[in-house]
Amino acid sequence: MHTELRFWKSVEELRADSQAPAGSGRDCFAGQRAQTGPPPTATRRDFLTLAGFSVAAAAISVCSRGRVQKAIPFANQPEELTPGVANWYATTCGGCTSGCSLLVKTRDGRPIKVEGNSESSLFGTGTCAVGQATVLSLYDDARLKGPVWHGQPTSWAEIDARIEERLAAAMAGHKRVALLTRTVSGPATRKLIREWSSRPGVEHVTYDPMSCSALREATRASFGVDAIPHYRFAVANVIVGIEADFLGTWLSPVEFTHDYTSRRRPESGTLMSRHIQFESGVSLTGSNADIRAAIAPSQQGLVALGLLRRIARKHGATGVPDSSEASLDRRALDAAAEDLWRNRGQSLVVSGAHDVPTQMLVHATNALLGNIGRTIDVDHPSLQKQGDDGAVMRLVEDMSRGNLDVLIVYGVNPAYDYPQADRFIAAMERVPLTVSFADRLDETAARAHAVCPDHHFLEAWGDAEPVTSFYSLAQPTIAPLFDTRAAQESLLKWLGHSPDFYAYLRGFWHETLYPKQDRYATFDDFWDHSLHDGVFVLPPRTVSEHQFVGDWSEAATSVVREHAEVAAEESPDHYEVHLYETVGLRDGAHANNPWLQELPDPVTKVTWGNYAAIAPTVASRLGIDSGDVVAIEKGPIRVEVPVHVQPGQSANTISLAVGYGRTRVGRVGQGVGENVYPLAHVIAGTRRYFRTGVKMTRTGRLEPLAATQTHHSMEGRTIVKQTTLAAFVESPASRHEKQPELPTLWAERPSGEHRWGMAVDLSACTGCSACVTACQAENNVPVVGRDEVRRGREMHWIRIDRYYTGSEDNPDTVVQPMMCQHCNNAPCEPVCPVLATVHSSDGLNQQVYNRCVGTRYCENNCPYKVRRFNWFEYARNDRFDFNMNSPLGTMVLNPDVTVRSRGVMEKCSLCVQRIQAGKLEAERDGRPVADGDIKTACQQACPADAIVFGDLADPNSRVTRLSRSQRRYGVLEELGTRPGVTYLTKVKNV
Amino acid sequence: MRAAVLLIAAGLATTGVAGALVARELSRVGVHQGYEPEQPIAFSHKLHAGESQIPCLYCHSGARTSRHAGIPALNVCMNCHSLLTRQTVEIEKLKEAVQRRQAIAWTKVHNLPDFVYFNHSQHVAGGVTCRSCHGPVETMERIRQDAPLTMGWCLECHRTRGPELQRQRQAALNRGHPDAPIPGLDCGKCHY
Repeated sequence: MHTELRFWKSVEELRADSQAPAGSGRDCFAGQRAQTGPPPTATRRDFLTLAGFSVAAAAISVCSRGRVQKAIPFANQPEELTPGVANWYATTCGGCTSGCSLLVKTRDGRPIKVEGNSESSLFGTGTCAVGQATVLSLYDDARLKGPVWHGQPTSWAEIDARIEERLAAAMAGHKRVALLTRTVSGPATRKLIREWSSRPGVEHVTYDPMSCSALREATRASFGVDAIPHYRFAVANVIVGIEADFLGTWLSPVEFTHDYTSRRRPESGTLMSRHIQFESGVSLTGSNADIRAAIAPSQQGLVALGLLRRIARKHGATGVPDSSEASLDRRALDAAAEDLWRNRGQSLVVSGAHDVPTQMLVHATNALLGNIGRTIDVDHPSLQKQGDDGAVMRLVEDMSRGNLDVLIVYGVNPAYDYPQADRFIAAMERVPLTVSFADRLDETAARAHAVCPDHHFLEAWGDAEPVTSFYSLAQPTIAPLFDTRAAQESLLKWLGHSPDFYAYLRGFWHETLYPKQDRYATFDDFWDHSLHDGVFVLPPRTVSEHQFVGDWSEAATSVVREHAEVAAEESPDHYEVHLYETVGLRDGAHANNPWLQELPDPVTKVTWGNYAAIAPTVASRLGIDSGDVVAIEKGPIRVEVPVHVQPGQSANTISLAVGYGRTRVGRVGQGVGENVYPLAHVIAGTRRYFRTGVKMTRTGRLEPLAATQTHHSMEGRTIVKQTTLAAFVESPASRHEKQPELPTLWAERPSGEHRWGMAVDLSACTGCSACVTACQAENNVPVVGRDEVRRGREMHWIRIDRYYTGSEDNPDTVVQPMMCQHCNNAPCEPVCPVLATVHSSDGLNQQVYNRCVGTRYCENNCPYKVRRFNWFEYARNDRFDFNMNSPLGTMVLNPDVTVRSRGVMEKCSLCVQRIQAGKLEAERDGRPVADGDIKTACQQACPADAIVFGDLADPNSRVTRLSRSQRRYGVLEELGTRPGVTYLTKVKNV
Repeated sequence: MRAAVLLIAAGLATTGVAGALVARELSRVGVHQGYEPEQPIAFSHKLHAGESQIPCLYCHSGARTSRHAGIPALNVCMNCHSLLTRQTVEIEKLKEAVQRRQAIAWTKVHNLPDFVYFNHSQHVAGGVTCRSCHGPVETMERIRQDAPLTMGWCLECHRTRGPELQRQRQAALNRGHPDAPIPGLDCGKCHY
């Protein structure tokens, strides 16, 4: 079946293919794309000047001796620390509020890499792209070096005195104090906040920039539980998602990806799950769905209602009001309902909707299906989003009325991400004392009277309870780099307690958790083991039967009414705007992290900035194309962003990513993209991330997107294979007859002790891009910036290619991680004039930087286009003012990997430093290397376990077994390259 | 006429000699064999390793477990010096540093280029003696780079000796591949 599918990578390619022969206008040679700057103006005279200088420099270097290097040992060496040997600490990620358990690798006292914690039964061993990048945000130049009072640096004693004085006055005078925090799942911090809010006049408000407030309220109204349920994707045979990007950004993406992909392997022995997604923009989740139906954001409620009506009919329940379904994909709804009903008790409907009635309809559907207590756990709810939209609104109201005396802002930045940020800023000015714990002078902190910078989470003690009964501890992995103080210690200090949060945390665990377990006899034992493992799980409570107690017919009426209001103002030149989080930048807190800015979006492949994703039909109707800047207007709000034509985008819907357009964040993220939070608004007490009746006009300006989309094109060959479950079950191997062994000019390579190789399961890979960031962190891959990405010079060693097949209105999407294939007969090797790329005895295609003279012949000859050239000196170069240009930012570099210099080629090494370390360890222990001892960075980061590395010379290794799978194929095998990386065909359950 | 010929000959000879000198200099770029810099404390390996026969790994314990052999921290020095009564100007410098808890900035003698990965523990575990690379340290008053530390010098050993090498060769023979490549000679063994 796959052979009939025609894959395309962008609308330009689809259309160009029907008009012009393949290859027109597309480059396969990175670096030769149109220059956006002025043409180079080097003259013969410049050449001679430079040549003369080079000769002189060479002469000087001959005469000079090497630089004198100093070796400075410890004055007093700690027992557990050996220079050159990594120490690992278990902690909890603070990248978002999901609270994943992590292991942090520190080298010579510096955290340089994070990995998933395999002790965690919740999150698996993977991480996400943001988690991988958090280690770089520790070394961010924009972080505050100490406390700030009215814009001036000050001391902790002074700022404490001023704040304590105002607080005492406020509390004595029965004035009001508010603590505005992000979602805090750590039980010890929650207890501390409860101590605060039990004081008279103090209130605690939780604010999530991307809120799940409606879901929480709906759960309370439906089941009487004021929390967000814990969804269990691993036990669901059928998953229906309504605008919930659960694999990318929603609630707990690492956990959900791990669970979801465990059911996406056709050979695994369990039934392969089926996933149906209704959404407007193409999200990471939607691109993985078996069936995807495009809907407008305003139709989420109608879809939920349509499902409920169908399920209720099958169940025999009555009372669901009628609604028009003219604008919906009824076939998809019918199919979804049919599948759900057939798998009742083992199905799951999730919705990312931000209104209470829609979420109630979804809960009602799940209740009718008998999913509560099975795929949906209400007894052990998730604590990953606790924001209360209504409370935040009331707080802003109170502030602007002058009813608040002290505002303490912890972990949030409403002056940037609150929809009515202007109102918030104006309200802030009416508060006599505002205190922020921000780590930098962000939009909110810059307007606060006092800034008491919090530690980075890698410097701090803490804990988390992402899902009830699942605890995770956080410990410092480095002494604080600057004169910062944990927010909890500030809170303790101002309460008059001893500012020692470590003691507080230990005390809390002693009092609360230690008595609930019986494994350890002493608390010290319990604490040491919990700290070592990083996680502690309480035995499950008994699951109680939760009846749906809500009023679904009222909810349905409200959904129908709201949609009717929207439909009334519909017109062809008005659009709906859908706001979403990207996998890289999420809510915008990490905007100053260059790794995340340069991470291509999993679907659009665009880096450095946001854009208006519009449907191809809209683009051709308006005569605009990707890169044209449009103005998007709703009332007084106007944003100008470039267009990205997105196949599969719901017609008349514009998708815009939040998290961009930061004005005060640091030199990397400042002014990248546009802030679209102001387009969000509040209806019926909850923040909605869509807007109807929006105008879009072209400005005539052009702003080319920095996309990795059309280069590295595979020129129309069968690169990615896809089949359906039915076809696969019928004849598993029929699609993949092994190609006849091609004759080769090369002599058979004598095999060494090992033959390193890799297998990538395309059925499991979701395209989440955690591997891309992990590789960047592990291998010191430089950031090149927007202009260089536009020229096709990004340096990522692993990229995720995305292909479309089918119609451009609703295509199927397939992703494929692509890295050096370590071919047995590598085309790059014979063309290198200086033997800088040669084969190793254990099957690696090696790149030797010190031999490379930069001819780039290898890059030209590589059919996979995975080689990367250092066009510039990316380290210590003001032109590339990212992390490698500052002494602080370079602390993240992996000391086991060379920082490449200008003019050399580089590419995936299969993490040769890890291979050597694994072999060395085995040798020191006097044993052979065991399967699984060595993991590449991409493999270790993968939450889906889609990448497996190992020894192909070992017949029992996992990689060998996978490379003999019935789904195996090699990319471009027909060229006779004999790649060391095997791919497993993607299977869709349709 | 003769004078002119002589002049030309002399000129050519000078150029040749100069060229040869330049070529010799070029081949030594980055080779620091014999480097013997002055150190902040005149520490004598001859006294410690030679006369007192302290094992190398007592002070350079990192060589067993880490890529770096490491220079001992002050607390390692004080393991003995807190018990020894003898005082000299140099020991006084050490004790002063201990009192001020200030690390000593030694001048590094054995330097490898940044693009080379070398791991001490691998070699120590393989039974390579310290002296095979560092020379007769126990006779050096001031530490000196004994070997050229060039790639050719490394490979000389990798080609002829080493337990891994022997094991690999045997394994290849067992598999019937007497001409199998030797992993210790792979570029990627050290360059990444």
